[in-house]
Amino acid sequence: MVKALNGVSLELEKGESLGLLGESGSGKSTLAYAIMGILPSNARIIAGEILFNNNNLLRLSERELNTIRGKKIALIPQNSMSALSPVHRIGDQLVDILKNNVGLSKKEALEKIKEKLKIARLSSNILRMHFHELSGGMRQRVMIAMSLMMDPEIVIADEPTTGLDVIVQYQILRELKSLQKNLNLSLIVISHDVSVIAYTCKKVAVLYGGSVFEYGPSVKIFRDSKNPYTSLLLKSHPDIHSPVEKIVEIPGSPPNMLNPPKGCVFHPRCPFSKTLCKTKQPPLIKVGIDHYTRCHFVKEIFGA
Amino acid sequence: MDKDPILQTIDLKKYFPLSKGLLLRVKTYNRAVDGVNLNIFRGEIFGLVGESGCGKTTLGKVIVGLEQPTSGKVMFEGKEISGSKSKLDYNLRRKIQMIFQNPYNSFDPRLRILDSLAEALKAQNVEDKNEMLEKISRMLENVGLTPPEQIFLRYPHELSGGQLQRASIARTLLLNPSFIIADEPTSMLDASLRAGILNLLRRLRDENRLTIMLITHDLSAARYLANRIAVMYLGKIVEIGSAEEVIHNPLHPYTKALLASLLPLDPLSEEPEVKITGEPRPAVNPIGCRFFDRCPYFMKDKCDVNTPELFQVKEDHSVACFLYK
Repeated sequence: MVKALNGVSLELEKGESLGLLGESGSGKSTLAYAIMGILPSNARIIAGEILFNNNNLLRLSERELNTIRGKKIALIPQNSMSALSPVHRIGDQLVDILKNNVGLSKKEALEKIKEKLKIARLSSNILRMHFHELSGGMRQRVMIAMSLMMDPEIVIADEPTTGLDVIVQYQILRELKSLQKNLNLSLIVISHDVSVIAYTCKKVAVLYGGSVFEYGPSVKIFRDSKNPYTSLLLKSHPDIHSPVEKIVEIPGSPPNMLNPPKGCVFHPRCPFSKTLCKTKQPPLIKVGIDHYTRCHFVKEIFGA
Repeated sequence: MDKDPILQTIDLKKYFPLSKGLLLRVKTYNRAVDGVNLNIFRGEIFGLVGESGCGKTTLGKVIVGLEQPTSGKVMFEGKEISGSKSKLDYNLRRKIQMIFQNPYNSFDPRLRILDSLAEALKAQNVEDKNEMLEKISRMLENVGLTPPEQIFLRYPHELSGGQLQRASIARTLLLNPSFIIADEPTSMLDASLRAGILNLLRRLRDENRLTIMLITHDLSAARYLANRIAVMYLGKIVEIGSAEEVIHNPLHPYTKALLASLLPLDPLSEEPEVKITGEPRPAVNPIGCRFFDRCPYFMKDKCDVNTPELFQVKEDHSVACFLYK
């Protein structure tokens, strides 16, 4: 059994942007899938609740969930290439989705689609095209338009720019950021890329080995991290805007979640690790206003 | 680093025919590499930067000999290594090796690491088992896989991406190359493992005097490692110079846009200002600057009619743009 997530408590307010930062295997996508209710069939949520407007999503029936999933909570998937069929025109597919899932007529559906394409800055000419004819950036814009189709309250963007070139990545993220502001969306951005999260999110949860390692306002996390993993991760990233210094290597590899290390999951890679770290998992402790970290020795390492 | 070119490309071109119509007649070409002249100096890390589709990987493949050039030459140690197979000097060509992007694809999944690495020695007619084992252990230690005994008997899928990329660098080094092409060596790796590979490449340059051509889309990695950087756009080198010059004093509008699009790590920094829009189209049109349709400084009847060539602005800094001529 893989324990993909372990005691994760996060809060997202209306109109707020939350970044889930983590490497592969950290549990960030599992968390998103759990919120969407689209975990693979062998996954079990053993404990906890997912509250959406004070409703526990885990208690809802499939039918009740369908009034929320994709409508109130929408997902921008990671691999946009496989999100739409390559053999049907984009317009036909989008109309079908709205006809079958919401019961709109073709005319109403088209109207709605055109409105959302406009928000994502796409011309409605693409409706006659096939998905593979679009560039990576345009495909991602279609995904954004689709996620907005039912005027959701929460949008979850799972690695929204992986595989895109730098300039296009910037365009897409700027779009996402301004939509979040203008539509007062609650946005969750999942990424392994520190700079993507720093640019798009006001609040960050750093995940490692299925646990939240640090949680707080992004200004705090990126400027004044109180966690060994986060601060090493930031130092291992060559920053083009500051002078060349030798970047820090984090020794070892991310944990194998089939057989995670005892105690703190980061201890085998942590330069500060002591005996206590090998035996006891540290709790999430408060280190500032809305700022939490998981480390036994936060005072010793980062001062008071 | 001295200015002694180990590798040169001379007006190197690689066109891929695009066939159209019922009879699949070749009407146009995708000019993936379109007249590239490079001098790579002994002992440097040379960063070749560009977005997907700019031809940087194709250029790497032509240099290493995985693709035949359409025209032009690749010179290595003063001798031509491109061209028809009968004339090739295999001993010379063996000195050029490539590290690939995805280590899981460049290892045979059914071979243990030891056997995969032994292939590199067998290719050099090393037969003695003990000698092989010793050489492989030493090399694994050299790339930071210690203790080697723990790595030997594992299969590729049992290693993490970072460990396997290190093993693939070890395999490359066992062939005793003097020139290595590293094609996006860190883009498949997790953030916490990336730094280790970058520092390893840096050490190989500084301690083993290897010459490395780093192909990447990541400007910050290129700046961290490279002595010189060339920026490629749709088959052409648009700017080349010392890494600090290109990063701190970019001249080409495309380089400027690339740098401006890099997101800052500080959430309080100002919104970047990026002037260009759109995405690159494959290089089909041979006339004019490749970048003119996206360029904010586009000059009509100049940029769309003439093709700007690289010219030197300063010592160690050249640009292909009419703005500076």
